[in-house]
Amino acid sequence: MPVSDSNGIELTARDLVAGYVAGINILNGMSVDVLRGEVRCVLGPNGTGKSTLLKVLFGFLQPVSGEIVRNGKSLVDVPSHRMGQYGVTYLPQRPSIFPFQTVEANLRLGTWQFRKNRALAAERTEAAYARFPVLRERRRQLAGTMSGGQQRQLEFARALMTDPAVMLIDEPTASIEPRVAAQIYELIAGLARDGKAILLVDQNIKGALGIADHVYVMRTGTLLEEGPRAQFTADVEHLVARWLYTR
Amino acid sequence: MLDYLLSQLLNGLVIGVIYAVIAAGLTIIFSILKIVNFAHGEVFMAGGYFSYFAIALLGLPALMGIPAAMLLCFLMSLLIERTLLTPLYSPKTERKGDYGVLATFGVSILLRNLALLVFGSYPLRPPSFWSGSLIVGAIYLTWDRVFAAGFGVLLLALLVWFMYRTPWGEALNAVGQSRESASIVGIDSTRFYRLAFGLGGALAGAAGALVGPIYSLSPSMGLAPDTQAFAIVILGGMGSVPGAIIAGLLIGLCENMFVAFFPDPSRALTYAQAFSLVVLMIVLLVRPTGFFGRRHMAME
Ligand SMILES: Nc1ncnc2c1ncn2[C@@H]1O[C@H](COP(=O)(O)OP(=O)(O)O)[C@@H](O)[C@H]1O
Ligand SMILES: [Mg+2]
Repeated sequence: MPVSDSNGIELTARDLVAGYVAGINILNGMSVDVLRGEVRCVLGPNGTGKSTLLKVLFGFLQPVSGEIVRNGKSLVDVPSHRMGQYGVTYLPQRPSIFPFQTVEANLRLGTWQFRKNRALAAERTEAAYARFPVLRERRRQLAGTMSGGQQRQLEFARALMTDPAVMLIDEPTASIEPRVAAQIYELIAGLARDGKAILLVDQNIKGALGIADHVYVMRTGTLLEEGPRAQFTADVEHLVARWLYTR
Repeated sequence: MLDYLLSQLLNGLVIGVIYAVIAAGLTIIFSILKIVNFAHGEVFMAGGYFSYFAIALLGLPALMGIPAAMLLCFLMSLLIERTLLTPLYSPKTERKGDYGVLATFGVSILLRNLALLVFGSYPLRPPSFWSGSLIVGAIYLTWDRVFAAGFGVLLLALLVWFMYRTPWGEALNAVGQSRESASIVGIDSTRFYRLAFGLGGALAGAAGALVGPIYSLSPSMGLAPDTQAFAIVILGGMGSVPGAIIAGLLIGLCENMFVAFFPDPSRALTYAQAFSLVVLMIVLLVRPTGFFGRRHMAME
């Protein structure tokens, strides 16, 4: 299954089967493509395996079968701590910042993979502060003492330190106030415009559809339907009804 | 009277520094691997013997016994970690805390009996690092104690510098907070588990080497300090190095003052440990997480 780069595919996953316990599969043959400059979102009811999909893509969970390919190379056996070197980053459902360390230290940890290149680390840190001024103000504050929205900003800032090509993002606005949530969707849309390939998993259907280029609808670990955003925005009720009533 | 008080205060500080070194090692291991290392006291004991034999058999100068003990305890800890603790890193292992207790408890019994077998039960006394005593007026303190405290402070200072001023210390701290988050930024947690367990062992080994000339060595020498170290780690806040240092000094001081001023001197020593547990209970009533504890610490 050769994957050509010409159509902008940064990451492709085919027929993923995976689960947490032997014999019980949560993903039952799920496939996605993540494209440069696009936000692709995965929607679906609770417990259907959306977060599991991202965990498998990032190497936190080994698939039973299936393929994950980036630039012609399989990522299936790459451990998650080396995913950064392959240009893939992950923002899990529960924010992954280090709450007992300062904002500054969190950003420094974001440069861990290239920490010996001090000039680059300094440049990226400066860029992060320019993009998120609140982080500069609070750089000596413990990250865990900031608001949920600020913690998410820090997480994005830290993820961007490595200038990743692919970003796997899981429910970035869960339990975040609507005004800040809107800013986060704007941020994600902006990142896609900058050329990032984004796979966004979300329960906030309106928020996600607002910025998605392409939509995957998941149902018990498989793909129910997929298509460009327009196919879904016209009839969000239909979308929700389908995953509520198809068994 | 004032001289007596001052002498006891200084002695208490010396013990406190040693406690702090042992407890700092224990707390680092806890903060990263999320297990209570029941073999810590035996690594401390092994450090004492390693130093003794490095001096007696290899003919090293007494001072070199300390780095030798640290290195050997570091290596011994790596061996324990590699052979027994790797199941802690597997998502397939359930009840990791319980596993850690059982595994390290087994190691502690093994090491103690091995020491009994190899070194014998009679106490050994390594040579002094620095013979003679510091005498100022009525204040009296052996130079070995002064040296042990000084070296202990140096080790603790190095440790704090490492933990809070170097990228490796920063990464270690990150791994302690979340292995998953550490992986996301590209940190290979396994290397840091190894480092933490080895570092904790090296600290215990240094403490064992330092107390050798003061208390002499025996296979069961680790039991009492180990219990004290558990109390200190809890008092300082599970997983906090500064907490362990402050609590270690405090317990050392309190214990010594208690012994010095207990009305019945013949019983004072036997009650000393109970007394530090009373201090612990009082602090926990006011601050359930100890001085600097973080809540919710468990291996993911
Ligand atoms: N760590 C885990 N161990 C066992 N089962 C899990 C674990 N995480 C999630 N699951 C199960 O996998 C299924 C899918 O979960 P998840 O991927 O989180 O769904 P979603 O993100 O779509 O809400 C659920 O039934 C959930 O209970
Ligand atoms: Mg989820």
